[in-house]
Amino acid sequence: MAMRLLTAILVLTSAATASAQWDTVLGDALDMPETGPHWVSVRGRGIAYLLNADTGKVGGTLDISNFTPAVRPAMTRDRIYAYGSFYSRGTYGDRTDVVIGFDTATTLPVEEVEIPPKAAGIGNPGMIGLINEQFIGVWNITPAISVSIVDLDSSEFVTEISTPNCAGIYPADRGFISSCADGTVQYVGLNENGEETSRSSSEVFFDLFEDPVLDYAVPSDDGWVFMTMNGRVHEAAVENGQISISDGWSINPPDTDATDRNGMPLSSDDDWRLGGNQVYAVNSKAEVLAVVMHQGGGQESFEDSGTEVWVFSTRSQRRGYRITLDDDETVTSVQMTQDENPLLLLAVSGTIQVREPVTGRLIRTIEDLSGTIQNLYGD
Amino acid sequence: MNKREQLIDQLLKDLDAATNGAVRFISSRTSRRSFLGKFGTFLAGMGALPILPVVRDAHAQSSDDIPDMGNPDSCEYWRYCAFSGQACSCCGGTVTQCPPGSETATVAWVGTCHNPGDGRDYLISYNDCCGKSACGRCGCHRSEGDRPVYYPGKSNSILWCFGSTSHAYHCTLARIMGVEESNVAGQ
Repeated sequence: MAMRLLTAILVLTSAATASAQWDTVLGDALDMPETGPHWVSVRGRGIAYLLNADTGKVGGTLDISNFTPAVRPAMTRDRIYAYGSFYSRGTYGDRTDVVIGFDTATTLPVEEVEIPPKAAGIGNPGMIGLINEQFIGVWNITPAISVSIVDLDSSEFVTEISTPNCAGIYPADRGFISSCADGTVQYVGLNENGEETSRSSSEVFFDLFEDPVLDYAVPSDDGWVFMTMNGRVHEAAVENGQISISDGWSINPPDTDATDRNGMPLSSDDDWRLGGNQVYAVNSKAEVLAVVMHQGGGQESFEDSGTEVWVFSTRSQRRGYRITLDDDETVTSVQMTQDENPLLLLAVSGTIQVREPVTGRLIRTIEDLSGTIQNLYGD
Repeated sequence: MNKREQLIDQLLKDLDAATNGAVRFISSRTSRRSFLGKFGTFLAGMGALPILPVVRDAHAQSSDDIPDMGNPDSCEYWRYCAFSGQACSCCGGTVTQCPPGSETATVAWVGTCHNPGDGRDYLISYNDCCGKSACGRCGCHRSEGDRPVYYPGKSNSILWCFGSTSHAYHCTLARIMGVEESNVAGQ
């Protein structure tokens, strides 16, 4: 009996270790897993993490410079682009600014194009745009403002376009749009060589001193969504070089008799303000807008982190629910994947929370990861 | 074109004239807080400040004579009302001088801060010190009157290391540039 038991133990032990193998002496490196619409990048300092929000696993990283505010995925080209500034001695010495193309399979830099040393070293994802699927635009400030254009087909710097007092490179029509200090959105059209061919401005729809739009916009099915410091939502679209701006609606409506979808009275919530690094996110298919909010402060608190996330229906323009974080937590960024079954992602106190956008249900929390969140697909 | 529109128009022309070091000024009403509306904004080229519509030291009093209550290492310090960054006084410098080995940016953003020592409002220039790694001490973000980056003179969301040989951010100064004219007139 004892012999039989010992034999059984040996067999089981053998079975348990049958799948293990001797590791190679030299080791080897993986390629990136296959990616999809629930993959995002999360920018840390000097590094961008490529994250599968469905599993919470990081699939790889990109080496970016300390002066890289965002990346720009171009998955149809099997590339993720970023710009960076590099000094020959770290923080001093000769400065070189480049647009870098990272291979999406290996995460290695495989392309590099030198651009004028004017790129903004900090900012939001609007500082770099993929235009017409062929050109990368980089936002410059010296403090004169311009946009550098790089042709990805020829891997050459094309030109620098002056865009006085405008910020952001949001691809639209055959060029890009930016928000401007004169209260408009400006459109710059490019030709097949990446050179400016047209320029136009929208009607004035905000006041710089009363209630300016943020220098941040997020894509919708029809164009780009802008929000003002006081929480007014406008959509900008471009067709045949002409810009249209929607009438807009407020996330802080005046007191009315209206109720939200749960029947609760709506109030103006005057004491609450939007704020953060990535303040809001939209998914047009789910008709959802999510906004990072905090209580108190003036307009200047538009960069302050939030304690809640308010989620609205863009169809009814009413708030559906509020996510209230724990007392010791704050949220700096919100993002939504752009597919038909989207995920809501929040950068919360050094973690990434993955939630279900329509209900706010927490799906998972990914520890030790935080920063600017960008979709690999759909932005 | 009303006055504000004229001033905006002037700003738009001036800001992109590619003239680092030149003064760029626009008067504006920037905030719900009334005292912020008195000065407006500018990009402070350090060489030509006397044209600003504020009273400089020579016309009013030297900065040595300005009561200066508070601790420059603290975010509560009165000059830091529109500050964003790390205080140079915590990094080997002072509130007006860069730490050793760093370089003062020649262009800055500005704020208008109320001095509790004399009850007057002062124009404060926030110059970054650059060329070394971020100091990492005494971080402070108050940002009164802050605007988006498309309005650079009132935006602290920019690396303000223009005019220095490196745009690596180290820390930020808070220098008194002038006192509000109405304050002086009312003396």
